[in-house]
Amino acid sequence: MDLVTPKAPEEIFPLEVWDLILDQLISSSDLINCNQVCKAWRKLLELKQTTFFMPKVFPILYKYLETVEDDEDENKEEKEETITTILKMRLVSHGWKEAVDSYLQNNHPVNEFSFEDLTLEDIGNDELVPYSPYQFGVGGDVTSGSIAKLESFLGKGFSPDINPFITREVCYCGNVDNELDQRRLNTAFKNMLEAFGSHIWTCELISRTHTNRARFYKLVGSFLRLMPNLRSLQLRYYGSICNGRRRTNSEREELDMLLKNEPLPRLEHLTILEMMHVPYPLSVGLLETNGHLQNLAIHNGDFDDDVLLPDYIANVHIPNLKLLRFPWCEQNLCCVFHL
Amino acid sequence: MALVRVISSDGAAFLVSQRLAKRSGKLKTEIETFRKSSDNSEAQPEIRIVTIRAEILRLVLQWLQQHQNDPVLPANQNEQDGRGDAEMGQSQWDRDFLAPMDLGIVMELILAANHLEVKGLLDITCKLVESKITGRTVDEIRTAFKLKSDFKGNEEEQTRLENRWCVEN
Repeated sequence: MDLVTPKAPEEIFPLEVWDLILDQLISSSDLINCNQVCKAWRKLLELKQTTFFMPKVFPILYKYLETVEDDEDENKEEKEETITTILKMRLVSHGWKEAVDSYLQNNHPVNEFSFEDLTLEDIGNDELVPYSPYQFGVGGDVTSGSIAKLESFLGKGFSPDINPFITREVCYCGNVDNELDQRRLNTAFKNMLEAFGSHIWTCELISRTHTNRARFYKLVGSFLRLMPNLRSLQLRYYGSICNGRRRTNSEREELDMLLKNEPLPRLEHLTILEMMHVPYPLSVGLLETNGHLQNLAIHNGDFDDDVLLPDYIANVHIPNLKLLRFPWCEQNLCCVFHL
Repeated sequence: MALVRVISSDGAAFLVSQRLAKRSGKLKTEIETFRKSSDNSEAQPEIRIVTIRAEILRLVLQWLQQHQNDPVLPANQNEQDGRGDAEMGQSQWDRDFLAPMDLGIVMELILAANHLEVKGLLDITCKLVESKITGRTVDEIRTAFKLKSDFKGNEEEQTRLENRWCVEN
């Protein structure tokens, strides 16, 4: 076969054969390229154009669908209409569903991290914890009512192969005063993760409970083990630590043993880690097991009593780190290092 | 009149005035970059647009020609929500321009207008696609976009379940 002289497609194969070949293509970028090759191919792809253009068009179109700004509560009805439209688009075809989901999962258009906006004075004000309508699962104020909702979630009939969290983003907010409810919440959250944790890419873990370092380390570790595909983790601890922040020598030895004997899971896809007031040894464990991080933000971490935080970070091996932020620096100005 | 040669992905060349071409943010940048790097101030810039085929590039240039005397919408207009003043800018000519097009072509035009940074065209094309989605049933959307349901197995039912869970939540 002479492949040097340009030929019309039908001189190479009958158009029916090209149709079968083009039918095998899945990637939107491949199909867009093929659409540009020649008139014959474009004609064969004509009926698929509105499918394969959608992954590229949806991010542009989204701004036109989004009728109100994120934080305008008074426009709740319009916001709900936008969500309804987006959800409806997921029902049109498999290709459209993938286009919508991919955009929401990779861009989190209505829930950007707002770590830098928090000041020490703001901590404890629930309204400042970012909450988004796309943040499905558990989130916001956790009451025994919402624990029951989480418990009933598993009875909704989702197949484990299906991702029920459209944005692949969940939030755990452990601010329950009652220890019994706290245990119930932890169990329900773990059950949910056991079934669907592999679908989750972004997780926000917020705790306001009174606990000890070892227990908190184990709790978070048990959650992380069930989310092997996590890409972004936000961890905030606003509670109080038993025996205070300062560690005694014997406690330190115990915690060091815990770190060594029960290491945290290495999350292969984790690139973004934001930590606020995270106690030792969880803070250190997360950095040591995830040396492949690219974007790290630390707000008043608890790392090594004897070393200043920037010095500690400088000595941890994180070769791919591109952005390091200490958001609490100098009157709430964000201190950013591009590495 | 200073001209610029704009070449589509499939090799078709369009000779247009630089004044007209500069109404596209992308072409304006390319022309200015060419001027800075060229010793000959009379040289004619040649810009190759590798992602836009001739039929679509012709439509973009046709729209620019019609709107050459309109005030230029800054690319960051209404940056907060990304929308321009589509309703305000849409004339009878625009409606006639878009009317015969398949939605597949309109979507291709959206990508072209976005790439070439032609805000006014982007606004009217996005508004057109949006109007075919918002307030319509799923079946009406499929008809408008000539799509058929291609969900496999119980995927459509699971998607309905996911959507319901989102709303309940």
